[in-house]
Amino acid sequence: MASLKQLALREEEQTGFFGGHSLCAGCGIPPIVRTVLGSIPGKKVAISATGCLEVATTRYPFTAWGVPWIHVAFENAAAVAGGVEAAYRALSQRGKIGEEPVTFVAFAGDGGTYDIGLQALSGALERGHRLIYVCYNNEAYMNTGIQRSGASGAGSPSAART
Amino acid sequence: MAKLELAQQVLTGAEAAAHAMRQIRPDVVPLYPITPQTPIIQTFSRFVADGETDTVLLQVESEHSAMSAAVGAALAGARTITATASQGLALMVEVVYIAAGLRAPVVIAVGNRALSGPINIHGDHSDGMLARDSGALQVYAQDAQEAYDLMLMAPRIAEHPRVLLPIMVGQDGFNVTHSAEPVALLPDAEAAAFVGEYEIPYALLQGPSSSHGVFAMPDSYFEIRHQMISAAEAARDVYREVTEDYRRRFGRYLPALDCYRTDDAERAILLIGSAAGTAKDVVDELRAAGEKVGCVAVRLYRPFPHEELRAALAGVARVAVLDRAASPGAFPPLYSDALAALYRSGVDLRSYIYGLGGRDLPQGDVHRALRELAEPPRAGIGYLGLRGDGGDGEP
Repeated sequence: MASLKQLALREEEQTGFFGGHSLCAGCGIPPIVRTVLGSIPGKKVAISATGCLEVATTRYPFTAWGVPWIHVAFENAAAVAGGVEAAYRALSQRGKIGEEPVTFVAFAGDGGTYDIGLQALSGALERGHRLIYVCYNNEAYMNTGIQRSGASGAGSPSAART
Repeated sequence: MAKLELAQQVLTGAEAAAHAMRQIRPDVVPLYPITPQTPIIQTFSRFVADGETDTVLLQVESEHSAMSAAVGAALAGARTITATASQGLALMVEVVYIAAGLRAPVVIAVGNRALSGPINIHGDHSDGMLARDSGALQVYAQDAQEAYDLMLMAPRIAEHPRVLLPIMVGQDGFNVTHSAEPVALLPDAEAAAFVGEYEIPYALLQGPSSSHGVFAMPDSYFEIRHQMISAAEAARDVYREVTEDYRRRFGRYLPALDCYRTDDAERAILLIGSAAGTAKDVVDELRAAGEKVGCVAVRLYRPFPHEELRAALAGVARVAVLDRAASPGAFPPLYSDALAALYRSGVDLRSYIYGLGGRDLPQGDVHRALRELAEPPRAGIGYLGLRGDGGDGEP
């Protein structure tokens, strides 16, 4: 597998996630998504929870996603990912899709993971789906304006204090 | 018209729905137990365990995740069915709306049950009405046979290219889900041929890369929702086509409205679900005594069959609309729909609520509604079977 440095140098080869989205300048999530998708060989499907990443990358009629992508709601990225992965198993065993392996990658923030999405994540892990779950933990609800989440450190400044 | 000679077997509504699922052979079934729906998924799970279908079962940790997984699977390209009731549907409703908006044709079997509180596990239509405006289509069975037939037709209606919407197949909790009756199942091969293959445009796992569930600003949301609303309207014709095809192939016909002895009726009952059987018995009794009465049971509730209802009740002077759900502070759902459908038709509609939380609708209550239709109209909502309402119930 390529190192992070090598992946960063091969940006033009990475067609899973494109620029032109409306995420803030300097936001960490675009390089995270590009790096994660760029480091996974072969076909992949991305699943997003509601949040900055989803809102800013899929403003209709545009999309920044070069891979099949789905978003359903805030608290259920892991359950949706499980459903997509189950569909892959079902269609594979019935010969309805090719045998090419597919990697399923879910992206959710800390609010969508530590708080509202914890139950769906617990269920998905317990069922043992073959998927990668990426929590981008910036320690607060950023999309709604820096409110505390279950991942905020004690005493962290939030919108209420700034 | 072909009429197949079919062996009957004794099945509950829940088992009948599970047999339909076995014959449909869905690719994915996310499941979570809740009374009175549990025997649907439990019976189906047994079919999977016995190797009668190779469906992938997902034992999820809530109905919210059941519906979430169902949307993911359906949009990935897999035919997907789930089942729920009551609080489970209430928990699911957020995602039922999204399923309609994302045009995921998931089939949802519902064992209709009251909503808390107080908690109650018995039949009424409050859960279905909670999802009434979601964009999901809704059909309601009167008995186990209809639960089977509607379940088998549901994928064809939901997956039609002009529709692509989720569909809820309702059967009254306990009155249908747990009541064993003779049910005629189609041969497996005929059922499978009728249902056909699952095909949707833009599946996640098939064809070119696509984005589902994107963010729509005020400049596009309205148009996207309008497309979904138009699809729900189109489902009225599709329901007709699919039920006609079912009749052509198998000789059983389930039109949007079940009109019973309404041709020359002067008074009629309008309702949804299993209480139709009771109402029809009362109609027979009164007809035998020379009274011109009839009954209309709604099978297709969303989209609502406005024109069919107008035609069905054209010559009827007075109709008692029996709702098994309430809209506290307003008239109940079926009455409101019927009133809109019959606006300026001259038909006098009266509203009744019955059967909340599994309270029986005895024949006496149907008699009372039909008797009151012959009396001058009264304002507001009447309650059938409610203690202290001045009806046939105890004071």
